[in-house]
Amino acid sequence: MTALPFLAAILAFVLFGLATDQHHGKRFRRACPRGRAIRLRATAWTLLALAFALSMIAWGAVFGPIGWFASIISGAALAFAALNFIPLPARRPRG
Amino acid sequence: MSKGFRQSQATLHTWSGLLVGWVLFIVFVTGTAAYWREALNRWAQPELPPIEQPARVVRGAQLLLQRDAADAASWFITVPSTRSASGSVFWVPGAKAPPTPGETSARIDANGAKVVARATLGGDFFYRFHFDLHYVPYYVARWIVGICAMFMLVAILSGIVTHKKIFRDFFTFRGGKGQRSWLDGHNAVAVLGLPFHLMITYTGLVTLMTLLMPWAAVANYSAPFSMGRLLYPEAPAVPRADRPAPLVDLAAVLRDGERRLGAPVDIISVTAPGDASARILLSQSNHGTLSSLTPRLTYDGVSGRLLWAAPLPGAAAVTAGAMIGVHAGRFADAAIRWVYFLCGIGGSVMVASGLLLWSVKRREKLPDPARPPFGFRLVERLNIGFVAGFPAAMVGFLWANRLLPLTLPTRAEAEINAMFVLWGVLLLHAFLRRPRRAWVEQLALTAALLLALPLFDMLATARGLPATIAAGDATLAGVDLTLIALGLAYAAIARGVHRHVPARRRSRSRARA
Repeated sequence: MTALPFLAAILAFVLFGLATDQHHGKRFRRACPRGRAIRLRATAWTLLALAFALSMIAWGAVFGPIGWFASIISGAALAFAALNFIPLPARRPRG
Repeated sequence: MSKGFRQSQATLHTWSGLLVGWVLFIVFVTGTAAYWREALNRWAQPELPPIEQPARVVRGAQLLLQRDAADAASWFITVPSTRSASGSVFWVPGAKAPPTPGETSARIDANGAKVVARATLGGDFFYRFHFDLHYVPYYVARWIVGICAMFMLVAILSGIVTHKKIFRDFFTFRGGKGQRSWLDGHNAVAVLGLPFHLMITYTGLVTLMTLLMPWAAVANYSAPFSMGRLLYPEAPAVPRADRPAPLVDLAAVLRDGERRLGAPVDIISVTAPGDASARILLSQSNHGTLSSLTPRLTYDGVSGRLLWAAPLPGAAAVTAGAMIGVHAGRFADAAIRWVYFLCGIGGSVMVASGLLLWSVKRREKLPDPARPPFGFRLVERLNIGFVAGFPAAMVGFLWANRLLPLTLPTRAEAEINAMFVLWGVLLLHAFLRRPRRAWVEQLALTAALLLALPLFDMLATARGLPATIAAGDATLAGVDLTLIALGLAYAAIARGVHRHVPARRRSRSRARA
């Protein structure tokens, strides 16, 4: 049960990261179109809200907010590491 | 105007960070280790069996106290949890005791027997050092740590202002670019862990608030102990009856208290044990509750009847208690504890990278890199001695726990002295060697000490990694695995520093060639 808020937060921050031109460009080889950035960020915010609800369920009303912050910090750190340090898949040379 | 303000904040950030950075680093690192205080306590006394039934320890404690301290004025028993290494007792000798009483404390193991194990402070040492330092009176140490924490808060807040693109650069890391990479790394650990860093610094100051800002307490509670009595109320005191009466079974009272509180109890204190006026005070444990100010119950020591329950504390007291609770994280389950620990490492890396950034930034502007000014050299060497040397010395403390003879007098203190001797040697080493060599050697030493420790345990004790994994002892296996992971990380960093070729020097040597 405690794994769920962490998973939601990781996914949220990966989406936040992909909504930036820098990481979108790195992974998809083009800047992030405006509409897509808005959709990615909206989904990410929804996931953070979901992580809050899941934290309240996992840890209860007193520790839930602390667990939520714990999942946010972990999610941000893991997404940061994934976006910056997971190498890009080898690209096929274009003909 | 805004540029001037940001520039002033940048200057404030640089100097408030540098001046206290070294103390902050050791406070951060030991505080981080202290999140595993209980695990390290268990690790430090591998002779002890793990605790399965805390009530059994309490029964043993009562037997020991009735035998050795029957006439005491009061007893204090710490009730262990299943994570603790042992329970403990101490007593205040009664009026009939000789003026120089012998032993007045003991530790109790899982079977209720008096502990026969190596003398050590274990993880408690890192916990105490985190705010009491060592070799200095505790109030001086707390002032030092408190002032440094205030600088830290200033450094964090001015750092947020200085960081120009906190959201746009949130996911940015540009590796292999010298100062740029250092700044990105410093920003990343600072921003990613920002909620933790702000919380830990602010609540750390709250734990010391009556020391750092005593005026409100002094003005409002002038009578001695009046504030303490308000914060920690007690049942009305009763005069000693001087009529012997057997003390009720403490384990039964403990069971009743835990049922009423709905939470574990961690301290039992008994006044006038063995007398008809005996009273038992139970304090609820911090585990499983946010506020460090926990409810208490008083029982009649003869009948075992509940006499008094502490009134609910006021909102201000609960607020302070909750802040201290969030700081210490005693409530944390495994998942949140790991996040605390990793955030602590993040905070240590933030302080360390900030210190290093100071030299990295200035090195590029040195008029003569071969002969840097004294201030630059001092900072550079102190950075090595603190950032690389202190963690190495901490692992040295763990080695001293394993290597010092078990019968050594004042053994617990000797472990601590061993740590500081090693740290002293490493500080000296940092000043004597060329900086790059000193970094590599000290980082590699830390890696070697960390990696060899689980290996030593496997060969020399019955609690090596395979044994603890086979026994399903997640705590001890976790300590060993964490040491290995940290050792590998240190080895990777040492290798990275060793192989690193600074961009500027490379271009120079090319030019020379």
